[in-house]
Amino acid sequence: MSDVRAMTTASGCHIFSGCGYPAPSISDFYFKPIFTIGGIEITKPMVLAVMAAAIVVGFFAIAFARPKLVPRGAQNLGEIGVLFVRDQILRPQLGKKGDGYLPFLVSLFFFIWIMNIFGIIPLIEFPATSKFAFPVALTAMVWVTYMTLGIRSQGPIGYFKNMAVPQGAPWWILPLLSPIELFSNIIVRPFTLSIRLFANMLAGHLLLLVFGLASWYLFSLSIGLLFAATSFALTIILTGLEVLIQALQAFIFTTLTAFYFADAQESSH
Amino acid sequence: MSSRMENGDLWATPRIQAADRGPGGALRPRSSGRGRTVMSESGARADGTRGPRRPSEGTGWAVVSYLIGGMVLYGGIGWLIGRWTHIAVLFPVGMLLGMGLALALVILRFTRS
Repeated sequence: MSDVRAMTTASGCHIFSGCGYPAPSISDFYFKPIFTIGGIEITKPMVLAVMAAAIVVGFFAIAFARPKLVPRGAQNLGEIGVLFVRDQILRPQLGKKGDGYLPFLVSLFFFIWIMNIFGIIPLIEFPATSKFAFPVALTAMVWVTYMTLGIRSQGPIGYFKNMAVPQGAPWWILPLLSPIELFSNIIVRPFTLSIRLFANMLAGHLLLLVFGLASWYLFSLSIGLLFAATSFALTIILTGLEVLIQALQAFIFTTLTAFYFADAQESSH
Repeated sequence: MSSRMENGDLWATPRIQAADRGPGGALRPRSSGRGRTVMSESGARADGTRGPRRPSEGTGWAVVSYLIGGMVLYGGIGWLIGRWTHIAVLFPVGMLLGMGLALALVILRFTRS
């Protein structure tokens, strides 16, 4: 529960009671440290990230602890998850030869997805990925991997040469186009990859806060009841939308990771 | 592409056709090597032939990143030169130039064979 919400519910702040709407703001994304370990203050998003990692690792460890030929229970679910990432994300981009990246992509997809889903789980209600550091850290891993892959498969000079020289371009335009290629591949890609995930989760969480708080704030025995009901209905609808967006963002992040891996390995441009 | 067929992925067939008939296919001049690329894309890549990329989720985002990259890069250069020479109009001019060049790059990379 965020500080704003706690404050509102405690103070009984309603419309027509002379109390202004306690609009959610960026301060809702900053938390007081829960506890301190060796001088490092542990906050809610950190705990959530560790929880998400534990859930992903724990689930797949249980699911594939004693794999059977005919999967049952958790193994069934785990296989659906792994096969989904393989067939919908990895194979379309990397083909069969890219199966080696499956563990990384599966972990990435489910880790992000679980962190996103925390945004709508009652009592947790905070997507850890709406803290910019988490998408940035994940993107840094992806960036280092695809740069390494590119340099390894095409050589340090070949990789940057292939990146900078688009095929079929007349030579006189290359000095103008090459900087865009390099800039876009090395700087814009990781930038947009992290921003996309972060901004979507931040905006989604803010939206839910706005309408969630408004349903409480507008509640009074007057016309406010109608406003509150509308706001509450919107909260429900937007929660549904968030479920979709949370899965979609995890999917897009992983798909783009696979695309960047494929792009780094082939020299077709 | 053959890998997907082996996998029994029924979605593969419409995807190949989409890659053939998509906007890229319409814009692309019907030149040599096209038929082969459509028949077996991965094969064409394996032997080093430069085939067109298949449209995928990634392609769309790559286009976006080119457009942003071109605009930011040349807009930034224009802004810097504008600051230096006190000609403020160089910033929007740089952005437009960057956008145009990024578009040219997108056409070169994603629509021509």
